[in-house]
Amino acid sequence: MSGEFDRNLKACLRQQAEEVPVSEVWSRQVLRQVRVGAEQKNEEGMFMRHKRVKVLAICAAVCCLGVGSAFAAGNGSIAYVNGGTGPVQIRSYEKLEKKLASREGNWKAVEAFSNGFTFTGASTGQDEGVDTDGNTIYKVQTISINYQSGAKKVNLVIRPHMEESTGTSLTVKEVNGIRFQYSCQRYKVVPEDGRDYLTEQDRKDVEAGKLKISYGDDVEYTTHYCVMWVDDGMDYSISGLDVGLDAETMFEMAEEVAFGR
Amino acid sequence: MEKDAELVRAMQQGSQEAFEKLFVRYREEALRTVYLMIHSQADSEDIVQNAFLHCYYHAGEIREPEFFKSWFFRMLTRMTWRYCQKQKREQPVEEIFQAETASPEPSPLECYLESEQSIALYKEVLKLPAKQRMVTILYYYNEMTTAEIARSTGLREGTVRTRLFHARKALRKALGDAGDCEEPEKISKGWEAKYYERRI
Repeated sequence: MSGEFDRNLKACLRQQAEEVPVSEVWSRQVLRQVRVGAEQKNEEGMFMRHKRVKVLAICAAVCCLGVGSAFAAGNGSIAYVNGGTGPVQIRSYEKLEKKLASREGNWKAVEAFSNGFTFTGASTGQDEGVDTDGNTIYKVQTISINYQSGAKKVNLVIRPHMEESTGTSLTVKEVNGIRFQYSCQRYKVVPEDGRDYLTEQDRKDVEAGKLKISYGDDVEYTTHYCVMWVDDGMDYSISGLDVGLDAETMFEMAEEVAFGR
Repeated sequence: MEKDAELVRAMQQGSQEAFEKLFVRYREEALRTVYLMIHSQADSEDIVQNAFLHCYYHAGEIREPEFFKSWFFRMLTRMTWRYCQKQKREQPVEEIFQAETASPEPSPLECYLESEQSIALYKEVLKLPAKQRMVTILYYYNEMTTAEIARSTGLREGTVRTRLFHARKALRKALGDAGDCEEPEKISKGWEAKYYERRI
């Protein structure tokens, strides 16, 4: 490198770079995400790839795949599905209807549910199915539709059907050939700072399958509610956190989408 | 110390320990490289995190483990470039430095002036168009040769040289330096120059 200018520029960039800390919390988070993904693969035969978003959003995002489920697709296994949607882009239901109509396939939605949940916005996104070798098997467009009733929020996610769920859900109901699956899972959210936040009761509940652990900023308990189904080549799921919706209520919501009633 | 190639092969067999060693080895340079380009700690952490996760889950894409660093920084550079493209609004440089320069701590005059000059120069680097800024940082901070930058960015080497030339010219002009703006020579061989020589 020649010249005083070049030396000054190099020194300048090094000086600015040296002020950038490499956070140990961030480092542990990255390593944790890899370890969690690998552990879940070993336990359940499926990777769940976590993005760096608030844990509550992660819970909502994975619901359409069925928490604790495994998948098989065609000749190979889908190891994990990587996906998500962007910020709210569609703010009127009329625009959403046009968007749904423009998509290939039969995308169904409602503007409001009879129990009071009403459309507030929607966003589009993409899911990518990846096999155990890291090869992309498929990419599909998704739509996430938000509904709200008072302080409660639920989310209807729609995407083309790609995998068969081989997991089990708590409650199943079959109507007109469509199999609706309901699940309700409690989580304890803990920070990723290496400290042990589990109580004795938490450990017992985890062992009994009543509690799962997830990661976020604060220590809190949260319950994830979800109903999912496949209809005319499309995957649907309605989910929410701490909304207190039982199976019957969520089945009714699902049937309103599926059958327009 | 284990070589990158050994760790990559182990990682490709599923070794998390190997991945962790690669992560520890390159996290600092990766984070600081991205930070210099976009000047956002949080977004830099996000980009670098995604790059390392991609590295682990797509380890099978690394066909030549001995060129891991090149592969990794190529991916990192492209992720950073996509981030720059998505930014709708360039944050004014004054806003970036507002908190940092509000109350400089007392220091010897010489150190203070040096620090101010460094900040002034870096401000001008941030004002460069993203394409020029990227090659500038890869050249001066990461000490890559223009050939290595070309491979990392997917550009032709001539394009890299041209962007560096214009970047240096712009920086000199902004700082009132009327010095010679000759094209940059290849600096001392970088960490993989011997491999690139073999490939050329």
